[in-house]
This record gives sequence, structure tokens and C-alpha cells, in this order.
Amino acid sequence: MTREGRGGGSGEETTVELGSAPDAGPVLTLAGPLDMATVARAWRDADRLLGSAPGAALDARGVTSCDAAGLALLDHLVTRHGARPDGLPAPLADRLSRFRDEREAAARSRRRPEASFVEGLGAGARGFGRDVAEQVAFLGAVVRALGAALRSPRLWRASETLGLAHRAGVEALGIVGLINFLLGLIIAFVGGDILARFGAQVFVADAIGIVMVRELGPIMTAIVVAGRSGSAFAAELGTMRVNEEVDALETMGLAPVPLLVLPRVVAGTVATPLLALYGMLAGVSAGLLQMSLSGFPLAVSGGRLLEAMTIGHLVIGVAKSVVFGALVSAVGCLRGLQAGRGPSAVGLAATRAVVAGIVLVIVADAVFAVVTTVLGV
Amino acid sequence: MSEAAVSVRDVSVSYGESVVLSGVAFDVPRGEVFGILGGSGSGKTSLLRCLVGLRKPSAGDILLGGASIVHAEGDERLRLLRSFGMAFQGGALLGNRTVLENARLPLDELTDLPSEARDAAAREKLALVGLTHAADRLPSEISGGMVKRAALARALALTPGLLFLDEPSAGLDPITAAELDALIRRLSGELGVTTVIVTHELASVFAIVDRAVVLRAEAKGIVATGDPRELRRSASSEWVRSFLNRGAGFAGPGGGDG
Repeated sequence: MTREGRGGGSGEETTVELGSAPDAGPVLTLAGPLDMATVARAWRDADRLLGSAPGAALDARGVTSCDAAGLALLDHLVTRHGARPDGLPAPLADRLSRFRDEREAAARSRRRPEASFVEGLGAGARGFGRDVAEQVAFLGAVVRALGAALRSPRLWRASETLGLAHRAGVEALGIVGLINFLLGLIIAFVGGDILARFGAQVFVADAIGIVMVRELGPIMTAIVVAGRSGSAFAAELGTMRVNEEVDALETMGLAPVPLLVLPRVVAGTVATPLLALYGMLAGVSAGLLQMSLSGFPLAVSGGRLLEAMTIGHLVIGVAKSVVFGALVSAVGCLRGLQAGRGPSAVGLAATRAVVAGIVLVIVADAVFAVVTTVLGV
Repeated sequence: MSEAAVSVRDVSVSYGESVVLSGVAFDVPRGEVFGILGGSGSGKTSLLRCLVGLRKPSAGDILLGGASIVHAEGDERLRLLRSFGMAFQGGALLGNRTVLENARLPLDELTDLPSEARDAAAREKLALVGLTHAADRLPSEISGGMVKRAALARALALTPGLLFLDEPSAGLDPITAAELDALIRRLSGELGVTTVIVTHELASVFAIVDRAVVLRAEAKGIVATGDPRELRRSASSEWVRSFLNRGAGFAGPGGGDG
């Protein structure tokens, strides 16, 4: 006879024994309290004992008390190990059968019809379509608020907008400068290495000027703004949504777009190009630094840079960052206003704001590339 | 005017396929303090969100002063929204503005009063709710009860004839709650403000509510209408009597509010 035991909390011992009856084959005998304090151990013991004796009869006459955890053990022995419950005392057998009914009912109500691939695709497409429609409607609301503000200067909310621009712009100078400087350095080193093979290292100045001013400066700056300010806008408006502040404004007949969104979009749209200019400067100076390390005097590298960099590149770079800034801050606000309820809503809104901001920036950059190529600028 | 301040006509509310309220109808006469009572999950808040235009009922109509808030669009909707004040359960004050700025917000945005007049009007409402001393503090710096009173001051900013209050005294200490009750009573008595209160604070209900509807989740609607003091004694439904007597004498299965 194998015997496993453990002292229960009340001094009674819970025991799990595997024996055999002459006419019934193996018998698993449970005795003592079966409760949260004892079931974990009994579960392991019973699993081990029944591993070699499937279909054993259960003898629970010695069970002194049994809670839900105990019932779960009995249910487990019956369903997993094929133990026969016919030897259970009537009240316990009754409770076990109700326990199993409830467990099955719970499993049934949890089960949802599984969506097929096609259904999932359709739902995804519909969700995407709805999101695009919401973005267009939101854009319309922002433009309308902008139009109203152009007619009535009070609606600019100058002090609030300035504060937001300070947060989105001035406080981001460090990180924007660092990222663009390092990026400029990387491009200059890699580019210089390649160009040196052709004896054309002096053209690093051309490359760094055009790449930083026209492409990467605006993009990297916009990505930093998406990460810092787009997410902050989404979190702020998301929190207001969760706290019913947006609802409160709506019941006052105040639309959230002119009151909450416009200052943020204006701040982002003004701050981003200024940041981008600063980023371009940092990137270009990194390029010049690399060239002077490679032995080019500043007069040579600087002259080359000024020759390559037309005003057109600068205008396109700044125009891009105006668009990027508007997109990133607007989508940040939209994701905030779209926030659901509950504790995870704000975090989700911030994440979605950053993702959508970066995607929009890259898409807009692609549009710029096509348009400028077609126009030949 | 004889028409009711609020008229709810066969309103149903559902979320997807789950019906929360079905065929709810009642009128709130002008000047009355009217209670919407019921346990958690009975649809009180859903009904209130419909009343203030934040949610469209799936069927039925809601008239505020004779005009439908459900079907109103554009300027008419704005006019209706501005005709009442609403205080949310959690206050819903703007977190980056002081108590005074919050109370002044509707005046700032919706009136062309000079700044001194807006300030004076907002301070008057703050004095009414006893918050003069906290005017320059941020919502995060004051207690929950003060936030609720500030929300009430903001709801009163434009001196509306109709006030919606969501659980105004929930979570307040008994003395503050009693003061708030007295204030609501005074507003309706002196200024004739019609007040619709959603609550399950029975002390407030018996202290200030003239008439009430009682909602129950299982019924998906109204199970009793009338003066709560009378309903408590003589409502035909045992559940309603028990609800108004804090659950005393009701212990049958399904006796909770669901």
C-alpha cells in the first residue's frame, strides 16, 4: 500500500492512499480535509499514484471537509484519470455533479464562435476603413476650428499654445540635436569611406547637406516629436476621456477639437520645423566635423556644402517638417480622443499615437518624394 | 409654461445585443427635485447619458423643455446643451486648470462677458458651494468632496434652469453630503431649478427628492414611480420597498439588484 499524508491546518491529516479491493481492482482512498491548504499536495500525490492505476475507484468516505478546490481535485481525478466516482458519499457526489455542470456551463458561455480568416479580413478592412473615415472627419474638424480661429483671434488660446509649443519644442532640443548629430556623423563616416575609394571624399559635404536637410533631418525630428509629443497629446486627451472631462465639455456644448486639439496641433506644427532646422544644423555640423577630422579644412568642406545645398533643399526640408508636425500632433490628439474606458486605455492610446505618427510621417515623405520628383525640384 | 422640464418617452437603451433599458417613460415637472434610483447595473447612468445627449437611445425620444435632445442637430443641439448644467460623478474637472478656471470655463467659452464679470460670476458660484478658499487650487490638490462641489459650481456657472447630477453625494462624509443636499434643496426652492439626481444614497433621496423612478436591472426599466418616502412604505413591489429600506426584509433568491 502506498501512502502519502500531510497534516491539515486543523490538525487532521489529509491522506491519499492507493490500495486494492478484491473485487473492484485499485482503490484511491482520500481522507481528511480537502481544502485550499491541502489540495495542492494531494493533487500531486494522486497524480503520481494514479499514473500507474487508471480507472481506480474513489473512496472518499474519510473526507472530513471539501471546498471548491477539493471538488476541483475530485473532478480532475474523474476526468483526467478515469477514476470511478461511484463510491463517493451521496452529498459529495451531488456536489461534484453540480460542480461539473457549472464548470461546463461556464466553458460554454466563454466559448465564442471562432471567426474565419475571411471574416477576420473583412472585419480588419472595415476597421481600417472606419479609422480612415474618422481621420478624415477629424481633419475636417481641425481645419474648421482653424478657420474659426483665423476669424476670431481669441480662439488661438495663445498662452496655452505657447506652453504646449515650449514643451514640444524647447524641451526636445537636446534629444533632437543629439540624434541628428550622431546620424550626421554616421552618414559622414560611412559615406566618406565609400567616396574615398573613388577619391571623391570631398563630396561627403554634398551628401550630408542634401541627406540631412532634405530627408533625414525632418524625418528623425518628426519621429522624435511623435515619440515625445504625439504620445503625450494622446495620453493627455486619453486621460481626459477616461475621466469624463471630454464628456463634460460636450455636455456644456463645447467641442473638444477647438478647445483641446487646435492648441496642440498649432503647437506641434510650429515647433516641429523649428526643431528640424536645429536638427539639420546638428547633422550638417557633424558632417563637417568628420571632414575636418579627415583633413579637409573648413573652407573646403564648407564651400562644397554651400555649393551643393540650394535653397530649394532647405525649403523642401522645412515644408516637410511643417506637414510632419501637423500630422504627428493631429494623430496624437485623435488617438487620445478615441481612447476607450478602463485603466489600459491611456497607454494604448499613446502607443497607437506613436505608431500612427511614424507611419504617417513615412507615408507623407514618400508622397513628397514622388511629387518633388515629378515636379523636378 | 406647462410642459415638463424633462420628458422621457419610451426610451430604450442597448449595448450591442444586450438591452439595458426598455420602454422607460416619465416626466419631470419644472422646479422638482427628481431622483433616478436603482442598483448598480440598472441602467441609471446609461439613462442619464441619454438625458444629457452623450448617448442616443436605441428607441424613444427625450424632450428637454419641449425640444428633443435626441434629434437636435447643430445650433439647436448647442442651445439645448447649454440650457442645462451637468455634474459628473467624478467631477470631470479639467486637470490643468484651477477650481476657479474650471467654474469659469462655461462663461469663458460661451459668453462674451468681460473678464471681470466672468470672474465675479464664477466666484459667486464657488461661494454658493463653499469653495471660495480653494479657488486657486488645482483639482489634484483638493479633496474628492471639494472636486464634487467644484463640479457643481461649474454646472451652475450659466445659472441653468435644469441641473443633472450624477451621484452628487456619493463618497462624501455625512456632514458635507448633508450640506450639499441642503444646497440642492435651496437651489430648487429659491431659484426654481429643476434637478434630476441619479443616486443610490438613500439618505439624500429621502432628504431632497420630491419624486423618483426606481430602475431595476431584471426589469430593464422602471419598477416604481412616486414619492420615495411613500414608496418605501407602500410600493407594490417588495423589491422596491426593500431597496428603499436598505435591503431589510428581502432575502429571496435574485434579491440583489443584479
